[in-house]
Amino acid sequence: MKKIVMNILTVAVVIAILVILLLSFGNDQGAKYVYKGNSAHKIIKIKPKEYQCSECNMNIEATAYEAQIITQGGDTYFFDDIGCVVLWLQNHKPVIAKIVTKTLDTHHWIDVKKAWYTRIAHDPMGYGFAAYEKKSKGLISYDEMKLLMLQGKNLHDPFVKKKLLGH
Amino acid sequence: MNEILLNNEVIVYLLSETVLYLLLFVAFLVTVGLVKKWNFDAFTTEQFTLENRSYLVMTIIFFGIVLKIILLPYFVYTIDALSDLVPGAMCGAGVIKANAYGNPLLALKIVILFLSGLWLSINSIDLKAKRYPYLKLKSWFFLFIFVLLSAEFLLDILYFTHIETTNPVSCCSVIFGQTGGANSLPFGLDIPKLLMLFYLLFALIVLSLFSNLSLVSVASSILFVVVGYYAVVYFFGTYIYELPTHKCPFCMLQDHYHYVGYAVWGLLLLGTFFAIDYAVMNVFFHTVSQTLKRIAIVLLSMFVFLCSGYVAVYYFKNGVWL
Repeated sequence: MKKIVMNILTVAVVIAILVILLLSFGNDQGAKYVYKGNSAHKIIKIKPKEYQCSECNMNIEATAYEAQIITQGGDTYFFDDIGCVVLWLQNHKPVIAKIVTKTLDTHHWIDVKKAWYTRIAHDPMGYGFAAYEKKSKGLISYDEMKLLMLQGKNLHDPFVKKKLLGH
Repeated sequence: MNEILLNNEVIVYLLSETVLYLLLFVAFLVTVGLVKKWNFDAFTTEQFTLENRSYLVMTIIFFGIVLKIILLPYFVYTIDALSDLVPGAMCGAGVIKANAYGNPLLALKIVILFLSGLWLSINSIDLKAKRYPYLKLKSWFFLFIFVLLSAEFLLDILYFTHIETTNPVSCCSVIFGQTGGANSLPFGLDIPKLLMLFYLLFALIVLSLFSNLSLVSVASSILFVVVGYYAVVYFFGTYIYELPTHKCPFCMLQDHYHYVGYAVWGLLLLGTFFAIDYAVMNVFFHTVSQTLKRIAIVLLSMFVFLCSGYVAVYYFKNGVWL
């Protein structure tokens, strides 16, 4: 009798576990990282929190700092921060059609290499880098920004932060 | 020389690992000879020599493996101690992610812990029998474990020689903290379902151990390690830290939290190990050990009560949930 009760209980618990797992799998919409089929290589407009950054996995909320990598095959990768673009390209080598970023001054989408970058922005990842369309004092080129990012010389480094922001 | 390699804990750890590896390497060479020439039915001088040698080598392996198991918490302690040297790290979480070798090394150590424990059990039942029935099996098993130990030793060296003290690393709140809405939990679970799964799996392990449903025990124990890890990091840990945003498996290993992390992770790993060990011994070696079963149930119950206790105490003290 005791054994039968134990077996019934075991089966009931197994069923409950399976139901929970199936419900979870069913509700899991998964993170959205890539927009596929963009063969025209157009910039994809997204809503805040619709996609996650391919590098840091965060929701893309502040679209003012957003960047996109569009591959020849039509895959569009989204990034919440230009710093994430630099880091992602270190480990991924897709055949790229264009890399674009939104600018803080004109709110246009432009080629990352044509943009100028501040080092003291309040960007989502806190690296300090953000794009501007028009060059002004203190802004640096993409190549310089990329080098500083890869060297870790951004606002995450306390020495750089103190030098640039004074605290 | 790298500053990390001059740290006291790292010197002690690497020296211990090297001595143990050399000892086990000698055991490995002798075991290869044993596997090749062992024939219990042979009545030859060579076989007698092998039997004597096997006892010695199994004692060496036993000694090495037990010390390796003890070295796992010391490795965690070392990692934690290094957080003072690595900029940006507030606990072991940042240090373990200081390079690409840290996480694979920790995972490999846990796998080796489980396999070594199984080897110890097989060794124990082999020594109790008169005809060494599992000598070849446990020798092959040791050769396999030794391959993993070699990979672990290599990763140990690579890991500790590649920790930079000039590059800042992320702290645990960045690694385990809010991921901006992306679900950090496995299988698409949310916290309520994770907790239901946590308690149901615990119940299932206990029930399956009592009912001798060995395969169910093994499957539920493996799943419980995963679910238990996430439940501690993303739910119970916040009650240990008394902070809803603090999600980290390493900070609880510090003195500020009375080193409770060692008890939490130790109970989880040992409890699930003994449950798996009991089931494996039951299925493959037809050895039913009531002691193993009781130890597994006691350790897992202590783990569940310890975790739940933090939540209950917090609620009784503050009158709210986090």
